[in-house]
Amino acid sequence: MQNLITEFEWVQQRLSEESELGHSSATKMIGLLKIAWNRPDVSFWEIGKVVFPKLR
Amino acid sequence: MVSNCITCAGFGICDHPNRLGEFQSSRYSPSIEIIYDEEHLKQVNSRRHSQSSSTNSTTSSSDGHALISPIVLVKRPSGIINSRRWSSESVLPHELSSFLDDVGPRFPLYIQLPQPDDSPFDDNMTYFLGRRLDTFLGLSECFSSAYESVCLLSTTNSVLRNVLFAFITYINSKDRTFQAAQCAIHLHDAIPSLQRALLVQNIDDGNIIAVVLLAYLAFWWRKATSAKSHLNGFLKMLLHAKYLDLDEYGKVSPSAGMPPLVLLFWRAAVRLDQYFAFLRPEDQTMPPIKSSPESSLRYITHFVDRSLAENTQWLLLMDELEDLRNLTVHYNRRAMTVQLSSNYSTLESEKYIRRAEAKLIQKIERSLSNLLLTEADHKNRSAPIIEPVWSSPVEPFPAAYFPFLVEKYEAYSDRLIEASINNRVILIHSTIAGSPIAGPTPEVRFRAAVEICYAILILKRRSPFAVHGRGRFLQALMFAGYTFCSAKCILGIPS
Repeated sequence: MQNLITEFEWVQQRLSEESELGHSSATKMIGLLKIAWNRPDVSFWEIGKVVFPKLR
Repeated sequence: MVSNCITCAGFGICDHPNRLGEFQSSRYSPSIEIIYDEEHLKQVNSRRHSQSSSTNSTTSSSDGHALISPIVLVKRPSGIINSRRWSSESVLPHELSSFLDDVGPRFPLYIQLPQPDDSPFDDNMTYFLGRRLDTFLGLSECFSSAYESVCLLSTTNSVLRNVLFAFITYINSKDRTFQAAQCAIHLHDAIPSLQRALLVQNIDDGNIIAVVLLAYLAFWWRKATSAKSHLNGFLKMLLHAKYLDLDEYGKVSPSAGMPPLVLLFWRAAVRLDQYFAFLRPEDQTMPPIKSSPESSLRYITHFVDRSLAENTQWLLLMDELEDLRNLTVHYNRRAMTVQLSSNYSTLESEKYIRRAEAKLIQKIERSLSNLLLTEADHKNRSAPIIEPVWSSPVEPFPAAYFPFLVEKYEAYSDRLIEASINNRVILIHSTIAGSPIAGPTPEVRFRAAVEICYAILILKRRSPFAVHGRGRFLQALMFAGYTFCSAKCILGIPS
């Protein structure tokens, strides 16, 4: 599988747009994906515990 | 600014005070909480017994099998409601406790008759509540037409009436701050009656429906744990009322006796439950649901215009999709249990998980095919697709993979794209237990992520401003982004 950085950035860009529209959820998701990008070995749910503490 | 972002509440993380779902005033923040914990109930019962015996009062014996534990009214911050001094230590107010002890568990439910003008009929608010729930849940027009039935039921059920009032004071964001105290007062009026009904196991449809509304209210207040406990209580109430059948495998399905209105709220509760499965996978959720199109059909035909047969079919498929989401959550949990179990070798657990995953993915793909068939059938019979009058330039998705998908999604209607996005999210979700590392494997996950991006690209071109339902898209984008992270190219650098 090739490097998927352009696809990843496209997703981040869309989330940024939603964030600018006022969705703070999008901001949190950008944060979650940044962590996932740097640490893809960490499970989604583990990252979620850090990024979405209010849900827990 | 997105003023009507109703699905943001699904994530419980939108902090902007002007957005729906945010409760601005901490001063009047309701602190009513129902504890649906049997252990706690036993403690309460034993405490009540010991208190009764020490005062030599004649108490009726409790069988320890009350459906739901009494409601705990926790200490409140200073505010209007503090004049009602509920104690966080004694679960029931003393007077009520003594009263119940005296009358015994078979005391008929006391129903306070409403004042003539004391009914939540307000066309404006009906519109807000109905539309909001319909949009939020994807139950097109069901709640709008069900609202009158709920109001009618509320005239003979003070719990439902007060909970409905609480809802109405909350539903309009401009009034929310000013009416927060009013909302809390209604809840404080509703809770003791509900408490009484639960203690004597004398619950009716109004009580059952009120609990779902309480769950939503708690959810919009960001009280996820309370909302979750209400849902658990709702499930117990349905089982108690024999509205749900439980089979030998632990699967539930609506019984033939469940009325259409309760069925509608059952579907609403199932949809709310999905939000908790999103980032709290370890939590208890609704049991696996045996899909039952017949029961869905009963509430849909009851509340939706029968002439819209195509709409009926679509709603049936949406229910099936929600049941698939429920199944995915249970599959993920089961897969995690198998992975951690010492009863299986790594190879064995891998084999079982893959086999279950393949079955699940097959079901999800079949669901998407059904959606496509229904849409195709609809197109053949009815009006042409209406082209958007204006579209917004959106940066094209750069994927070199599956380029033919763009054309495919361009031919879809908005609702089919939205349903497809939900379907693809469920598919990615179903692959996470088997392949917990971020990245594009297995390939079905990667393809689903690309499809999500194309679908969102088309939707954004057609409707650049968020009107409703953006929260689900954000979730879908997050799943797609997760798929594009790869352990093989940490920080974007292939290793």
